[in-house]
Amino acid sequence: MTLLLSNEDVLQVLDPRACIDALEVAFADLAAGDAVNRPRSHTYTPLGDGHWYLFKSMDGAVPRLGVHAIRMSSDHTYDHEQGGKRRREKIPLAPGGRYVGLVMLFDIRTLEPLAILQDGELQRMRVGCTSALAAKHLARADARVVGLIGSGWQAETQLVALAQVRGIAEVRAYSTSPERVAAFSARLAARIGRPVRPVASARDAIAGADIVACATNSHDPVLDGAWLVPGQHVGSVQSHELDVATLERASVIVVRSRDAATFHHPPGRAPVEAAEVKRLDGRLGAKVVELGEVVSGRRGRRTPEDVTLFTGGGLGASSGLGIQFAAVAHVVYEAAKAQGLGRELPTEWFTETAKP
Amino acid sequence: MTLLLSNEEVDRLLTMRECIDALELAYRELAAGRGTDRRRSDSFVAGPSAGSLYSLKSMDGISPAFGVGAVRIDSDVVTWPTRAGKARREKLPAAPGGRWVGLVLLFSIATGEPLAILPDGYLQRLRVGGTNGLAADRLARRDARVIGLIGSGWQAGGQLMAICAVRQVERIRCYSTTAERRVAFAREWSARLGVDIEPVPSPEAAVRGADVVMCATNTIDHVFFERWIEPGMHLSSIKRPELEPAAIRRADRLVIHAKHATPMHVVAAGVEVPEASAGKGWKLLEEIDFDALPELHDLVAGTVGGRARPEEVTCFLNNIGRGYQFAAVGGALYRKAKAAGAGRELPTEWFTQDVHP
Repeated sequence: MTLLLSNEDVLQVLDPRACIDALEVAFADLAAGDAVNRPRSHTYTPLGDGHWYLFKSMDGAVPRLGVHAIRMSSDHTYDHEQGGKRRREKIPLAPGGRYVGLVMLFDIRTLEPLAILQDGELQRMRVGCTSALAAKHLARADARVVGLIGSGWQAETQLVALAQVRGIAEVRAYSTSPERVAAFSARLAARIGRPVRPVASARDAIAGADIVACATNSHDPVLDGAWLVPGQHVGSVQSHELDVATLERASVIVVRSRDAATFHHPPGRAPVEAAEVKRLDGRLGAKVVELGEVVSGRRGRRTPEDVTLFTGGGLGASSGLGIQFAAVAHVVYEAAKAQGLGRELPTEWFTETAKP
Repeated sequence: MTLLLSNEEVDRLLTMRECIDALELAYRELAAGRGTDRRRSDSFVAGPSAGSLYSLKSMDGISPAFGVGAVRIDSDVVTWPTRAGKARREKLPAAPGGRWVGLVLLFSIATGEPLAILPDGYLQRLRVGGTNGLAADRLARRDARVIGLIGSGWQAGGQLMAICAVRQVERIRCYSTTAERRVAFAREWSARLGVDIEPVPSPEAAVRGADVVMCATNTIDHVFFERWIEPGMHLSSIKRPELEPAAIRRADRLVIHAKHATPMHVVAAGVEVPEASAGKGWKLLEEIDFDALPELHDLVAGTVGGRARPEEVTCFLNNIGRGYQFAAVGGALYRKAKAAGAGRELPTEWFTQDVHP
C-alpha cells in the first residue's frame, strides 16, 4: 500500500526529536558521500502581466534510511511591485483556492512509492529541525537562553525544535508586530513549557542570549553583528536576515550544502542553467563549512568564546534539499504507518508491468 | 478531479499518429521559444544487489500550447550486464509483484493542480517512437519501404509503430542479441502492425538493403558501424552510443534531439556508473560537438532542411530525452482521456493543500 498523507496526518505524528535524528543521519551521510542530493530546479513559463507558472523540484536519497524523496511544487506566482519593493506572491488557484506541493517517498530496495505527502508541514519541520540540529552541534552545551527574532510559523518550529536539543530556561522574542509577538509568546510558552517573554527590540532579544534564532522572511538584515557577544550561536532561516558584520563576526559559517542552490530553466530554445548562490570570497569564504562536516565532528565550535553561525537558507534564498525531505518524510511515514494514519492507496496504481 | 490512468488506457487512448502530431506542435512551440525543458537528472546510490545501483531519474517541462507542465519520475534498480559482447543498461523489476516504477504527473499551468497521474511505460514508448518517427518523416526517402531494426526490447516496438505511421512499410528485418527474443518480437509485432517482420541472425543481415535503419537498444556500446551504410539510407537511433562516430560523420545530413547532451548525474561516493565510464554510454561520441548540430525543432520548424536528394545518407540521433515531451504528449493524452471519460477519478484535494510552505 502507498500511504497518502495530508498535512493534518503529518501534524498528528510529527516528532521533532525523531526528525532531528533523521536529519543528523542525512547530513552525516551527505558529508560522507553516501547520501546524494539533486539541486533544486525551477522550470517556468510566463502567463502574462507578471503571472508565471513555476514547477519546482528537488530530490535526494539517504540509503541508511532506505529512502529517496522527490519534492515538487506546482505554483502560480505573481511578480509585482508593492511599496517600491519587488514581491513574488504564490496564488492558490487549484480548486478550492489551494496550493500544490507534494513529496513522494520511494523505497530504494523495492522501488515502490511508500508515501505521497502534502509538503506544507514537512517543510516547516525540516527548516526548524535542521536549525535545531545545527544548534545541537554548534551552540555551547550550557546554552539556556534563546533570543528569537520573528513570530511567524518559522519562529514557532524553531523554538519547538530547539527545545529538543538544549535545556531552555528562557526565550526572549521580538518581532515587528508587538501584538503578534505577545500572542506568539503566550502560545509558545504553553507549547514548550518554558517562559517566552516578548521584548521591545531585536537588540533586547539578542542581549544575554546563548542562542540567537532569526526566523523571518525579511529581505533586510534583522540584526547587527556588532550586538553579538562571544559564545553565542546564531541560527538563521534565510541569509537576507544576516548583515555582513554577522558574517565577519562568526568563527565559522555553516551551510547545509556548498552546492549550487537552484538551476533555472526559462522557456526558450536553449535552456540555460544558472546557479543562484552568493559566493563568499577570501576570509569569509574560508569560514564556510557544511553542516554534514559539523555533525560528523570534523568542524564546528572550537572554544566557548567562538561565535558560531548556521544559515539554513545557505547563502542565497531559503530552499530545501532533497535529503531533508527524504529524512523528515521517512520519519512521518514510519510513524503514520505504525499508528494506522493516512489513506491507503493500492501501490499497483503507481507501479507497472511495462518496462519503461 | 485528478485522473489516474493505466498503461492499458494510454495504449487505447493515444495513437502513434496522434503522438507524432502532438510532438510536431510541441517542437514548433519550442522553436518559437515558448516551451520549457528541464534536463534529465539521475541520482545514483548503491543498489540492493551486487553490481546494481538505485537510481531516481526525473525530468520535467512545460508546454503552453497544451497548458500542461509534466514531470516524469523513475525509481529504478539498474544493472549493466554484458550480452553478446555488448554492455547494456537493464532495469530490474524490483517492485512488489515483479514490477517497475515509473510515473508521469501532469499539472495545469493555469491552476497548478495535478491533472493526471499515470505509469510512464506506454507514454514513454510513444514519445520516443514518435520523436524518431517525426524525424524520419523529414529525413527518410518518401519511398522508403524496407526497415532494418536492431533491438527487440520495449523501445523497438515503438520505433516500428512510428515508422509505420509515417511511411508505407513493406518489410522489416530485425536483429537482436537473443534469438528467442527476436523471434518472439517478430511474431508479436508482425501481428500488431500487419507487416512481415523477419528475425535475422546478424545486424548486417538486418540493415543490408534497408531504406531506414532503426537502432532501438539498451546498449552502452556501439551497435551500428559506418561500413554498413548504403546510399539513401536514413539512420535512426534512440540512444547516444548506438552509432559509431564514423557512421555519424558519414551522414550527409545530421540532426540531434537536444543539445544539452548528458543528464545531470548526482552520484554517491564509491559508486561507479558504468554508462558514465570512459569508453561507454555517455562518454561515447564525445568527439562530436553536439552544440554545433541542428536540433529536431529546427528540422520541424524548417530552419534546417530535411532530405534533399534520394542518395543522401541522413541521420537522426535521439541523443537524450526531454521532460518537455511529456508535457506535450501527456497533454494530448489528457485531452483524449477527458473526452473519453477514461481513467479513475481521484479527489484533487488529496494532492493540494491550504498552506504554501
